[in-house]
Amino acid sequence: MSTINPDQINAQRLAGMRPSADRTDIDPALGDGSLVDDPAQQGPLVLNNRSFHDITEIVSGYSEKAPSWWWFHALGFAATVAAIAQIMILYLIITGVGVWGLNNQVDWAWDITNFVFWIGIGHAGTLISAILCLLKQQWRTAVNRAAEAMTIFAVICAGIFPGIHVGRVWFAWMLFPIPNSNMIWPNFRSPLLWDVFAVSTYATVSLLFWYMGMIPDFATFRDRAHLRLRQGKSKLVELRLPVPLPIPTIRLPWRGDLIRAYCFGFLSLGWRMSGRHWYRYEKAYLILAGISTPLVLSVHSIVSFDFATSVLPGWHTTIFPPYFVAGAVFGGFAMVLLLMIPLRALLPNFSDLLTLRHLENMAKILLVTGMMVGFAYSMEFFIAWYGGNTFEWDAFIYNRVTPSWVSERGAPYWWAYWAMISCNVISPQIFWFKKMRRSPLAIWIVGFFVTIGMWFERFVIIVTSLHRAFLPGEWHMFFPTPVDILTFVGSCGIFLTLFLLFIRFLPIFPISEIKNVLPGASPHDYHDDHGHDEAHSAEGAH
Amino acid sequence: MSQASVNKGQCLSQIVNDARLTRDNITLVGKSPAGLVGLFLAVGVVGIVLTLIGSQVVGIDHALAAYHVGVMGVLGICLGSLFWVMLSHVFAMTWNVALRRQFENVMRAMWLVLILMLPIMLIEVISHGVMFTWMDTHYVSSDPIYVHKSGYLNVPFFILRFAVYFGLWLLLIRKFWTWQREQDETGDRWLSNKARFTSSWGLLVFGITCAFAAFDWLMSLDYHFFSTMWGVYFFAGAAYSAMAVNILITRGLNAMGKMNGVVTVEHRHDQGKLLFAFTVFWAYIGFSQYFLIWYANIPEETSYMLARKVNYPNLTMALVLGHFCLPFLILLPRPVKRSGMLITIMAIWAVVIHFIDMYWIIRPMADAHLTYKGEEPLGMSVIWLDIAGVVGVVGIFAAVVVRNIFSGPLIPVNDPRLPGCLHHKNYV
Repeated sequence: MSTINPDQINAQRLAGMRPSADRTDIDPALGDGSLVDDPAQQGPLVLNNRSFHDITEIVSGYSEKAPSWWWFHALGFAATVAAIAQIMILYLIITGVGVWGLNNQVDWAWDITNFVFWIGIGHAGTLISAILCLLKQQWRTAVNRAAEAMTIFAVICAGIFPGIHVGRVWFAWMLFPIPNSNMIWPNFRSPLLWDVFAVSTYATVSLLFWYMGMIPDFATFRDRAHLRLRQGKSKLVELRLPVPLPIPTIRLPWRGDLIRAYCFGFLSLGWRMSGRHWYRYEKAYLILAGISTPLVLSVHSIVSFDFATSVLPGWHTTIFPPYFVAGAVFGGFAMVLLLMIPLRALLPNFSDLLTLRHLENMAKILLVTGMMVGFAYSMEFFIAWYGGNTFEWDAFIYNRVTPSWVSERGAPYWWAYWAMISCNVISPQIFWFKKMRRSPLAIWIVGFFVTIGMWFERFVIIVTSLHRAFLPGEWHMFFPTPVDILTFVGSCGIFLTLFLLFIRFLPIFPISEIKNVLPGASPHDYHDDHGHDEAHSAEGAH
Repeated sequence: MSQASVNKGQCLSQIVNDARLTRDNITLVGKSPAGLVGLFLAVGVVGIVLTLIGSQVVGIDHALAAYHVGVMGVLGICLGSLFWVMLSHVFAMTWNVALRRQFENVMRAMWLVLILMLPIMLIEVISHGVMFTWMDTHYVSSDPIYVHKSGYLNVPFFILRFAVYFGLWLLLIRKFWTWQREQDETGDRWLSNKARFTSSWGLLVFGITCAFAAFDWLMSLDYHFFSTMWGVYFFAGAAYSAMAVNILITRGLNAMGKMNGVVTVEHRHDQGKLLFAFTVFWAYIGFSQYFLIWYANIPEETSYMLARKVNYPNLTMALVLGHFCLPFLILLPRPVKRSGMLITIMAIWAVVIHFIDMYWIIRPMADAHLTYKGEEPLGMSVIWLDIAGVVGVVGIFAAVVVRNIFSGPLIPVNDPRLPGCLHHKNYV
């Protein structure tokens, strides 16, 4: 036995000062111990035999402890990029939409591409929080909170573009059917108006769902802050400098925990962890999950109506609604993986809660949804030919597929189409190999490609269909201006800034839900009677 | 000792100790299927005979259309069952292990669907298209739309695809069923992983073949019409009706006093949820397809919907109400999904409406051909023939499924996930 108190080791581990427990007892083929190939067993959802208290400590720790340097640097960078978007939007409003590369033919380009891209990113959150909840997929607990947060932030980013692309942004209120003295109403038969309703419903329900799920965790944060205040453990707020300089740290004359206790106390709406509260909470959660499930489908279906109700070759095809939904979930999961995998390395104990099993499951979802969009691409292609409409066929074969250097009728945008195919359909195919879908690096790289590919998918649909109209005299290329590019890059900055603020201040994991999937929480689960008991006794023997 | 046999020991010990898994409860030993099989066969034969009479009295178009409705309906049920089996494997589903055997019993009847399809193929090819008018090259060669599609819609390729679809489906079914039987006997739980991997690519194969089969046997009836959503639409109805059939079989077995405590109200609740989910999914797909065609209003697409909306308004409304509105409202409350009686009624209704859906797709074509020939369309006046065609096919299909059910244990007795299934609870 070592002379160090085991509690002390655990405390150090929780603080991230010590790596997680030695894993020599685990078969290396099973990765971190969460991967079980035996069909009679299920892998653990939380590693290292974490107790209920450990979960609270780990998750609260991310918010309560002073953030690392990387967080400040990342926030500084993201906020700067976000500021660029603000400047570009201001420039656009002052000058007019002429600052974008739009022309008479391609009158919708990056603005709508970005809108659809960002709306899609949000879908993983809704899918995880609603559909996987109804399907009782317990592994969702590791990612649902962060994914739901991404939904909100993505909708915020998406909402910018329809607002600013109308040119006279001070008329953006006319998106809503508000009675006015001029009796000017939006066209109720236009899918663009339904978009306004669909997206605002989606944003409202997602926000409610996200917020309601956090209430018990807010109460935990509140109680912990309150306890520290009473115990006199609270410190004054320190203003840390982004770089280490030999200047004495500035201390503000109030205690951080006081602010925390007030803010989280307000947000937790008087949650007292009583049985009655939990009963109501579970009911409300189920109802919200039920309401959100059709929203997963409806939002992107209506976005797809924006295109599919028209008679433009390349836009009018009946598979668009489910195809857009699958693509949205695909892109959303890619973004979740893109942001969560680095956090596993950056935040202490993160990999105990977000295990390789979770990553493997999400990699499989990427593979499935990637093939769904692949199926839709091929259906579109087949029917474009089978339908016998020359314009439809030309839109696919010449405006998208054939490179301009192969045929003189070929498309100047062939590279966008092939970028889409290789990123969305080909790159996830590596997940047929177990080794690849269990490697965080490989998953991250694919997630990166998929994010690019899904942006290109929207670009291909929108711009390649528009840039060649029925008359060759109406053929125009679209070239983005720096304002186009910087607005999109800036929107990524807005998304990242919000996400960084989220991981700093709010519970990244649903504390109560993770506790629910721990072996000790469910006395009826037969696995606890067998599998985990053996694991416990094996651990105890060490 | 091999790893498999060690694991077999562990698994079996858990299962053997369960009081619910007695031989009497999970097998049909001692009961003879002869009565039921005979009854269904008799119904089937009567239906087929009536269809044959109809082909002489009313006309071959209508008789074949009625028969086609029946065959496409049971094909959907079979394919849907194959889908649910693969889905259970690929998700490593625990809760529905005890239900999976009944999906397997249905999917194993695929050979029958192949045999039932043969007369259609034979009649169509020999008579150069009764329903598949594009087979009559004399008639369509002046149609530029057909000429464009002739690379896909030609008889040799059509037959080749027919063989490929059934070949792939029967291959997948054979794989799953062999492994299931082997697991029943040896208790080798690693076979579950084999089935899981096969399901992963099997679902891909299924998705593509199911879509193209729907193009071939349903969409090409009106060879001018096209819809990228068509495969998904057929799949939605297939998964829906297969779940309904599964509910009916498990309810029937429960009524015979079998699977007590093995398939409980908790499983029924989840079956009901999935039936509800696919009610909504079908409506979502069906509505999206209809709506986009209606909104864009392109003649070559709209004519398809128009032919059904104008000539068969009641049928179209029946689908809207019966395939979505009513089941949606009825299945929404939890007590309905947990009630044995109500869920059985809804499952019967789901199967009926599935056939009405197929009828809505196929039957208007028979009238369209009459109109083309300059004769008066018969509409719903020969409904007896339509019912006879469907009942004939369904009767024979049901007889085979009943025989399958009686042929072995009612649940995968040595499935490693069976203990979890027996403990399944919905809690809320």
